[in-house]
Amino acid sequence: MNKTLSAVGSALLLLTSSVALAEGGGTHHAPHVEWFKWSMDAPPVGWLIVDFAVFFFLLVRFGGGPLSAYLLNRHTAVKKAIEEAQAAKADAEKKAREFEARVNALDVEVTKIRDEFKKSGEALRDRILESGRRMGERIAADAKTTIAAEETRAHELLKQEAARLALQLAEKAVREKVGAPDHKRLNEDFVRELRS
Amino acid sequence: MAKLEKAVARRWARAVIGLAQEKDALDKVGQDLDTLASLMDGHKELRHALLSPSFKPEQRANVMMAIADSIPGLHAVTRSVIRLLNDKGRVRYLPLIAVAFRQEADRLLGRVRASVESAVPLEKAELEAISEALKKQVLNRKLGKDVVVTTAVNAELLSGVRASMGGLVFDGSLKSHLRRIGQQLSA
Repeated sequence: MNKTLSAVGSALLLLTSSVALAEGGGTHHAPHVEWFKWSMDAPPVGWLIVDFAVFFFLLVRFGGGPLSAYLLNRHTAVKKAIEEAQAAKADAEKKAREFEARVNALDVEVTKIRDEFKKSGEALRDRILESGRRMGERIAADAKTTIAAEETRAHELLKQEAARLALQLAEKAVREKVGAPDHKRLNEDFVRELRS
Repeated sequence: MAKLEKAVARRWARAVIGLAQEKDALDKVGQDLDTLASLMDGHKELRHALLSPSFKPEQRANVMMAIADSIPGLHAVTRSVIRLLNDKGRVRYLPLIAVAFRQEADRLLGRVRASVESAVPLEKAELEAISEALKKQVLNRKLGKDVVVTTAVNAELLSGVRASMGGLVFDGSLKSHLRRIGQQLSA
């Protein structure tokens, strides 16, 4: 309210000084100020001041309370808005700092994950290589065993085939050469063995 | 099914053996049954006439009796048996009854049947010697009291004799000698 009144006072001073300047500024016209007399040449400045003082009095008397309350509320609201804006700014700055920290941490985390992936990939590679090496050894061992078995089998087959051929030849020779005395001798041998 | 047929044949065989023993004609009836069974096995038309339901039982009986008449010296027990088999519709079991009869008769008489194969036909003396030796084996092994030998020629033996008897095989053939040599060679 005091501020409002001081503003009104300042306005009055300005008004009076402008009247003083008007009185002293003319060169061809004599200074002529009418304070309370109505004239076509000069306005009655005195009445204007009185009029303004009455207006100001009425304004202060009847409109001072609400205006003061409105201005006070306005002052409080603006103050509150400023405080909220400051708080929001502080909050935003805090969040910005947090995000910055998180971004920095993210870089670290990305590096960490990359390192872990690298380690994991290397371990997997080593495992695959080891598994491949073992499988290769096993296949080689199996192949050796299979080769040995096949060799043995082929050897056996050859022996059997040789025996079969030998038997075929022997049987052919026997068929050609065996005679009645041989039959008789074998029959006698059979009887002898049965009796024994 | 085969098991059931064998069981039926065994029961018939025991009954026929009972009759044959009463008449003291075990061997004769056995021979008759073998002859009839071989006739049935060897003649498809005869088997059809005896077994086909398209013929009446009387017709089948006439055929059976005609066959019985054609076999000289058929024992009365055998004639009764084939008539009964025809009446009961059991003619189809005749070959199995013959086998079961032989087995049961052998068991009763303590006989063991031996099958002797030789590369060439055996001389009488050789067969007697082999039969005697087989009988000795039968007695030694307590398989029975006597041996009945049937012979066959098998050129695959090359030379020598092979005898099988009651699950035993005595192989003196040249073929078996060669086989043993072959086994030693391939071992």
